[in-house]
Amino acid sequence: MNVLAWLTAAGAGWFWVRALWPRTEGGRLWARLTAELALSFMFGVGACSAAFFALLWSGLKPGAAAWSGDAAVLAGGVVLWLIRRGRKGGEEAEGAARPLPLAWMAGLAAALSFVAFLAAAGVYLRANPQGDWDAWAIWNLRAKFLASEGLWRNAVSPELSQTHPEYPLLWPAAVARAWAESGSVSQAAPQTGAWLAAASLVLLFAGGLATTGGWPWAAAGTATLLMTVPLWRSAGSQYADVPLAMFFLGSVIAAEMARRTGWSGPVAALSGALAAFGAFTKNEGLVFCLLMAGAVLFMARLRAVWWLVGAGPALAVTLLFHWLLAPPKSLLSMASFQQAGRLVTVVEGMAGAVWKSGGFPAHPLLFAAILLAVFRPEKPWKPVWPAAVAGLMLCADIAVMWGSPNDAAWQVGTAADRLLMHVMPVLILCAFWWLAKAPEQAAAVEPPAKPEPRRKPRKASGAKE
Amino acid sequence: MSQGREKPVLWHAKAAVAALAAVALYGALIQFGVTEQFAALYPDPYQVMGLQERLSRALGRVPPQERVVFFSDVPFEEVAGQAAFFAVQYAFAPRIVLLEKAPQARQARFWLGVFSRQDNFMQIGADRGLLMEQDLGGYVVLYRKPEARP
Repeated sequence: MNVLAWLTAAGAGWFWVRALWPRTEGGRLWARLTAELALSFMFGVGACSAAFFALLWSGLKPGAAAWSGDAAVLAGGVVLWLIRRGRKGGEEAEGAARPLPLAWMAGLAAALSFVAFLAAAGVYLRANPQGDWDAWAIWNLRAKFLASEGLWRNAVSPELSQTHPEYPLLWPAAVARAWAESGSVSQAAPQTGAWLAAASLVLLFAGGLATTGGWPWAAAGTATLLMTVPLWRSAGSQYADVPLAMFFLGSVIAAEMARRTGWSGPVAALSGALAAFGAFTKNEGLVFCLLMAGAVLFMARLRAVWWLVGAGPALAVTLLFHWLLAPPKSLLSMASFQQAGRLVTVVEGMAGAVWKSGGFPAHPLLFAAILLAVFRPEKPWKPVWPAAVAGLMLCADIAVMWGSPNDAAWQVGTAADRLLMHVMPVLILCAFWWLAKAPEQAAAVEPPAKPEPRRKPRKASGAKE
Repeated sequence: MSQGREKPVLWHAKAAVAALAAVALYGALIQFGVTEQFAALYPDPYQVMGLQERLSRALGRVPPQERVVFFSDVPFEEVAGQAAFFAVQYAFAPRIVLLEKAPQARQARFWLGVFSRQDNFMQIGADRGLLMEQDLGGYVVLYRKPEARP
């Protein structure tokens, strides 16, 4: 059950995703299924864990909270799916994808890299069932508190001053839920969660790219993503960083899908929910959630209310957690902001992390730049908003490290690569969305490629980029 | 785009994709190798699972609601000292483990000493007014205050 609990969460999430995700008729069915599979895991784990924590807080015992939360998420998903299963209409195609020469090579590289990635995560998790430092010092430790009857509040005890009791609790709740349902505390639960989160992140990236670029660009993008060294390091760490990157990516893909469908309410709500799960995973997620809300509000205007509806429940739990449960902790200090040297240290550290985010010559940003230079996607590059959100997120990360009361060198040295990993999938995805979009003259340049079935474009209802 | 530029662009595109595929695969193999080697050389580098197994013998003696005080001959300022503390906290959860200097430590009934070498553990406990409850092996000792009943 330590393993099965993750799959049951994904099963409950599947109904929600099936009901909210736009339907395609024919075409890239496999791409939609891949994205749906990954999103089901993300949404299911996020929703079941948030529900588990809310019920635990309301007074239920861990086992009852876990099963009741699952039942509520499953029942809600089934009802929504039954209501919406007969709907018509699907995603708007953004035009044909640009043909990619030697796509089979990219496909082979992506497939083998993905297998190696999953195998490496498995090997690491097997050798280190306890995970890396923060896994047993923070994340899984707090999961143990949550899974213990009558003692879950120890997870936010100010006595645990060394263990960040102020951190949000979605990922510990996800692990604790698996333990509560299995009735035993086994490392198999966090191990499985970490492995599935890493797999879901890559699968969603591929699926999200394939819906517009077809399998050739999905393969090239996935091969590039898997050059990201911090992703390999984090996959088996059992930290909350990979799940956070997963929620970031899921929220961006769903919001972009909503934009293409004229700000379809259900898929915008899905984006909001995933962003809110990120907010309850780490504090960086709360900043990302605010940035996403701003971006969606700017683009969708009144239709952004759907995004807020989706974000509402998990965001409410997050805010209540911070206001009522989390012990107060000063994250920023004015004295730190007054030291310009700290900013220099942080920027240098982040630049170093960018440099080290690949192992040369296998560097994701280098290859994204090479492909952009070679294929020269037509300007204006669209969509640009995900890159803007990711860029602002990095600026916020830098500002927080600058203003942190901790030693700047230590702060950036321990966090920079993980902070970069949170947004790297979004940045790479954005670059490949630009690359995959076929220019008018591309068809004349490239050899004829297997035509992808085109869907009739639907007019966006007043939405703007 | 002029006809004259088409062939070089296609050639560049093929070269870029071929390079991407080759380098991505190379990078994946390197990362897999590094991960496998690291995992083989440093499995559980801080002995978290080992300590958890050792401490599991003491868990029955300490009620889950109790605070346990941690002390060691390795200073907490050192990485090894922090690793020992957090590993004990993980093994003892849901019990809260406190550092010896914590204000609430005085009220705690159970104390745990994690040492780096053999010593007179009974005397070390007596110096703090503690009775040795159980030697868990591997220089790990559970103590209790004299009035505490296991």
